[in-house]
Amino acid sequence: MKFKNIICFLIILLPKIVFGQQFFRIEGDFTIKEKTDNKAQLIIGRFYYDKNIDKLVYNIKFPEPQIYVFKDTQLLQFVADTLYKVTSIANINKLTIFSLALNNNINNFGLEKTIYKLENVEKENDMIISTWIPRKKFNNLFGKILLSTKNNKLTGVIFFNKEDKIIMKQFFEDYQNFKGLDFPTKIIKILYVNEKPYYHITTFEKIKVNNTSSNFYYDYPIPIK
Amino acid sequence: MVVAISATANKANLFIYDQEDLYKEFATLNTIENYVKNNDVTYTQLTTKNKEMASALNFKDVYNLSLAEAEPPLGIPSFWWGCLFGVIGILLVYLLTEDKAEVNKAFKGCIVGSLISLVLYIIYVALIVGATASSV
Repeated sequence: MKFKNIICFLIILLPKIVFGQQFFRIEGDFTIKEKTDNKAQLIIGRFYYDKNIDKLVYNIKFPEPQIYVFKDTQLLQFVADTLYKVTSIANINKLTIFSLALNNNINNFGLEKTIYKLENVEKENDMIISTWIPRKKFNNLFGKILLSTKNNKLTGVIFFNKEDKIIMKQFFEDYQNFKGLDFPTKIIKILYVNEKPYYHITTFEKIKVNNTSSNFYYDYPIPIK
Repeated sequence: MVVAISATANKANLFIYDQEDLYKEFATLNTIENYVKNNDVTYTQLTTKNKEMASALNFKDVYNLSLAEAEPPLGIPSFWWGCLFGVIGILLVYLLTEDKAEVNKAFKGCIVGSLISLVLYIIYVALIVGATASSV
């Protein structure tokens, strides 16, 4: 009887175990370019994320060498291997594009695990557009979100405010396959603040999935709380 | 049917942006990016080696990476809230700059909802196991 209980547990949890262990870490070079009015920023580095360790690490090379570590409710910044600054933040590692990809939630942008619910789905040529609306108690705070997918890959996200004005658009392009994991290597964001567009392009290169040759950056040493 | 199709066509049109315009906007940044990567320089080194390129960039503080115009929500430089984060982060960029009290309520609601889902999942698994055991 005990053996049958164990089998039952495994049957229920097996799909989650199998996919859950399939992709567990991702790293890659990133470049962020931002443009607002007459100002511009360029940030270059390498990111590391292991969903089991749940530390998100950015090893920045430009503008100046520094390391950012997101862990639980802390953002720790290191300069020259020395702790430079600690900031309290919300714990949102699991909402990053890296976590969504590793957990196969990128296509719905992780929305099914948020305050949003699917309202309807429409097809336009080769594009499928889904409309997500906030659940009742949040609909006086948030607007709807539109997602577009093509060939079963997320291609666009549009955020509206509660007055139904567009506040941001995101486009996911240049998908590549890394050991079976599809990941967009270019993300374009257009943020509308007071109706002004702010542009932001992130590109990824040299991505590695499930690289176990070195754990140092995935588990970057941080002071114990 | 006609209304539905035109409504969908309007939605599809929202998922476009002017690529040519965007690449013109970023032409200078693309050039700087290539130079930095090919020469493996920091910003400080760039100000010495290529003043013109360095002057095209604007960093309020090279150790506090954020857009100069936006006050960073929750103390996090705003660029981190960008496309590297999911939906909640992005919504917080908007909401936290407008109404802090309401966002705190939304956050608490999110946490409560997640906890309820977890409890229901545990009960579901327990019921299945219990049913299997009693049928043996």
